[in-house]
Amino acid sequence: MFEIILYITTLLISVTVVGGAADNGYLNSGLTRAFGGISTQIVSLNFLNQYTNFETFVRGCINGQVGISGYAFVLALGILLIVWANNLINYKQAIV
Amino acid sequence: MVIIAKKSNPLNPIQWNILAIVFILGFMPFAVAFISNAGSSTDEQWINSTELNDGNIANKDDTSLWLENGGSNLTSWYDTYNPPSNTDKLDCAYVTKGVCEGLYDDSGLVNNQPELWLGLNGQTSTYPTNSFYSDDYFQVRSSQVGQSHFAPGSNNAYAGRSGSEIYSWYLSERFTNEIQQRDTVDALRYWMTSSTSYNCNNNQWSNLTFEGEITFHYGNDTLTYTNFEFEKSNKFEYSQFDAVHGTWSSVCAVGFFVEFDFTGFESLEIHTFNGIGDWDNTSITLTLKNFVNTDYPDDFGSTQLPFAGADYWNLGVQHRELNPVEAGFLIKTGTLLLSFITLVIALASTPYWDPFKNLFKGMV
Repeated sequence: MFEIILYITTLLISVTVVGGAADNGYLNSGLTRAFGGISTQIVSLNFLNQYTNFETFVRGCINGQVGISGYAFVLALGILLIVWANNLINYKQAIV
Repeated sequence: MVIIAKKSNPLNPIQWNILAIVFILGFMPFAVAFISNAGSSTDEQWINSTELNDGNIANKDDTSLWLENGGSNLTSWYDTYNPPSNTDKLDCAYVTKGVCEGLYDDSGLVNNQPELWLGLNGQTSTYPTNSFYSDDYFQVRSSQVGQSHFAPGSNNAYAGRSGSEIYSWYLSERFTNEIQQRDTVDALRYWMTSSTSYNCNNNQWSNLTFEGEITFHYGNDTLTYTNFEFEKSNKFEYSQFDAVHGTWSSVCAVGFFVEFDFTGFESLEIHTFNGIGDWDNTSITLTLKNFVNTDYPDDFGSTQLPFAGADYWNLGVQHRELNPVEAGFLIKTGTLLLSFITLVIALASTPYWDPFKNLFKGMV
């Protein structure tokens, strides 16, 4: 499950970056948008996975090692991602 | 006519998106790192982890093993410079995944001896002592064990080269049997020195970089931590007492220590993993790999490593303790606070509440 959270998080980041670039006249072709989006997702996924302990922390929260606080954090993070995904779809920006 | 004033938006969509990305890739990892490290102390004392006793550890009965002894580049060196020979000891010229691969010859892989015990099947004295030598000053308890190529070396087959790829050892619970039951470990430190000492002024010393990995074994489960990076010199200087002249002098061995410093969160994870600190039944796999001699990055061949060779080396283990109650309280409270902040950010990201717009009004 923690992999799903990480993938959704980084997917939102890449959609945000690519969308912002496209709105400003960059990444006009589908190929460059796909390349830009995938690259952004790989870089941000590697950053969260390897250069921070975010993945370990989220995994521990899901496994119950932080107790109720951990579950509350995963729930809050899930709500945040849902809100941002909805905002990106409807308003083309994460924070409205 | 009623005119409705357009609500001013202090940031454009791109800036809002940047703010969101900064929150995920900037604030969140820092907050998690801060919370994870809560309760992890750096001022606690290091404690010897191996019990001082008369028992021989790391022998066959204790299942401490060489898992890897240098990597595949060692194989080509041996293939080139040592004629194949089907003896048990030579089989262990290359150990891969805990198995002596044996030397290759025209008939294929020869594999007579399945494993290489760290204590060399009782051939060496591995009694834990309080010093590397009887008269030195260095007070880290350690055990003398065989170097990577002790076994083939005794047949004069050692090629005299260090592999640079991967060294790994399975260490039975006897290496950590001084860690008290129910203790929570904040950090582990492994001291590694060659049993041969040298003049400190010779020119064999090198600066090294390498990576580390540690795996805890409890029951049938494993817990692994990776991505430890080390920058070390292989010059290990300590004081030795000259009984003839009654003076202390500096001597050097090939060696260093590696430290696995866990975050408070990881310490609690280990504590939960091994049955709330059941160290009597917890063994460890220690791995060091991808060695680079930073003085000569393109040529590792003659670089000295404490555990590589055909002689002996000393392995000492120390640990630092953590208060699990204090760390648990800080981590859980911090996580709860981070949950609240995340929820507030989620709510503020909706059109129904705009605290950011008020916050940035007049600033941009």
